Amino acid sequence: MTVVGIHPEELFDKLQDGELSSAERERLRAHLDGCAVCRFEYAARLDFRSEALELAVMSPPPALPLRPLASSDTEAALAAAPVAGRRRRSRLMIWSLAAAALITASGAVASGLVGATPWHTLGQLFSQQAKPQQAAASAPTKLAASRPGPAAVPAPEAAPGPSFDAPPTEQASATTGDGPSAKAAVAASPEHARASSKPRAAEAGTLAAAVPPSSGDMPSAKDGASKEPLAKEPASAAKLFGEANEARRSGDVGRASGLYHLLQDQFPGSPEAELSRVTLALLLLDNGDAQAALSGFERYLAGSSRGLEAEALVGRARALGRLGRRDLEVSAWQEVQRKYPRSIYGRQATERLSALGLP
Amino acid sequence: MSRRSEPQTAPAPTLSAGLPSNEERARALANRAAAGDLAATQEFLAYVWPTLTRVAAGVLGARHADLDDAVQQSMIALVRALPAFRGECHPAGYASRITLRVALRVRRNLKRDAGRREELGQLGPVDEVELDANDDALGSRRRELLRELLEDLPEEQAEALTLRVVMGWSLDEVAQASGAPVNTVRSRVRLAKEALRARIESRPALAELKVSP
Repeated sequence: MTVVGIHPEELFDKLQDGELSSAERERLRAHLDGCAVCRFEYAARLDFRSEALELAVMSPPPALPLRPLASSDTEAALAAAPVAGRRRRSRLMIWSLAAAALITASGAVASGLVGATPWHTLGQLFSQQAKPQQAAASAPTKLAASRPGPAAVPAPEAAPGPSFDAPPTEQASATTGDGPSAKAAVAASPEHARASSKPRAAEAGTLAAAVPPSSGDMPSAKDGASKEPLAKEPASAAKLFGEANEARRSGDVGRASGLYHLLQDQFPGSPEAELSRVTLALLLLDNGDAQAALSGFERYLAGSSRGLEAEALVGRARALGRLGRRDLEVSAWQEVQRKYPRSIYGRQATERLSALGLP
Repeated sequence: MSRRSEPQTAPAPTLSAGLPSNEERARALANRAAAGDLAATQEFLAYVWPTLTRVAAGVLGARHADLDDAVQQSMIALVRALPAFRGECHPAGYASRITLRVALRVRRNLKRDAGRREELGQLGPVDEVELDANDDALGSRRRELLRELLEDLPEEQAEALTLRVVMGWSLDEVAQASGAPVNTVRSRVRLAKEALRARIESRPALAELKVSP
């Protein structure tokens, strides 16, 4: 195995952008044949990209009104949250906590302690909420603005925990580069799937514009800059998926459903379309259409994608339960239990089976 | 500088790679947020949320039980750090750097706690990360190897490697995100890859895989 010290980073970039020429692809292939590190990187990029697909169904919580939170508000919310819904609860708290932090940050600004508020545990943060002035007054006086170097990230100091130091300034240890314009990137299977759908993209954009606009209002966007009609740009699977998710988050079920269907119709081989089957099915299930939801889950499970198998299995079991098909529901939960015994879904399956009088 | 994704006010974590566009607006929002504008803060957090979620998931794993907490901590740290943001790098890059530190700290803390439990003879799962029977075992091993490496790399190299491999950003984008010259980023990536080489050489199954761009 040849040790290669210079890696064709630009080739990776071009691959990522889909701009790799045939000659460049050959160069990249030749490099990969001899460089275990770049082979690993190439595969790892696909791995992380694949994992990121799971995140696509995680929606940011709806915008909460930003206001100073009393600690009792937060604690009450935490206490009210079901234990089994930890992730949901946590996500819903993100905005509140960020808002809470803002209050602290504002206090710091007002007292001239820019960027120097200490890093607190959440509990400390809550109590700090109740006493913003006191908290600001007790903050260290080190000014982050005095840190050297470009774009230095300030370092909230870890009160009890590990430190959070700013990156040291680096006086560029520039190298000579990667040789001739390298290119490259991950021509992952997702891209391939998407590329095969490209001819239909413009059509999809036109169709997407016909879907009624969302009635929901995303956080901010007061100037409407981010709400341009879809038809102004060619649609892509990712864009349609994003639009559909946005509609779903804003509660516009009809538009979201239409966009998910459009995505599945126009980009049938794309990973976004596969993901959307689960997302749409969950949406339908939450809105009372268990039969359609069941079809969506089963279609996803019949495909080759496995990133959301757990969610699809659980969704199928829930849909069967809603439809009163007990025998099939039991089988579905048992499958969840068997495949994901140590997960939150496994516990959910156990609880449900127990409720149904089964071990 | 490539721009691969159009701005959405609060999109799901995007599948497309690349720094989010609308950088100037994000800078303006960051400035207003730093001055205490609540609406701007909300909009800014929505803008960076997909990026920092992907960074945190890259370090911890998309199904990690502490992912939400890490994202939450990152957002709080970001809000607190905004007053020191001087606009010399992309706002999403600034957010990603803070998130990387928070996520690595969460990861290290978990490992430390696991070590303590081991010392006490209380072996058990560190968290409730589910075991996916259908997960790509090799892919999981690659991701985990890279995550372990990130813990041990110098911060700038860990940052460069994360943004390159986890986020799929170009050299230009990493430079824009970190406020460093492109050649500096190139150097950091090269050094990180040398460290990576040492790791994977001890694992032939990972080193010998076949790929086809």
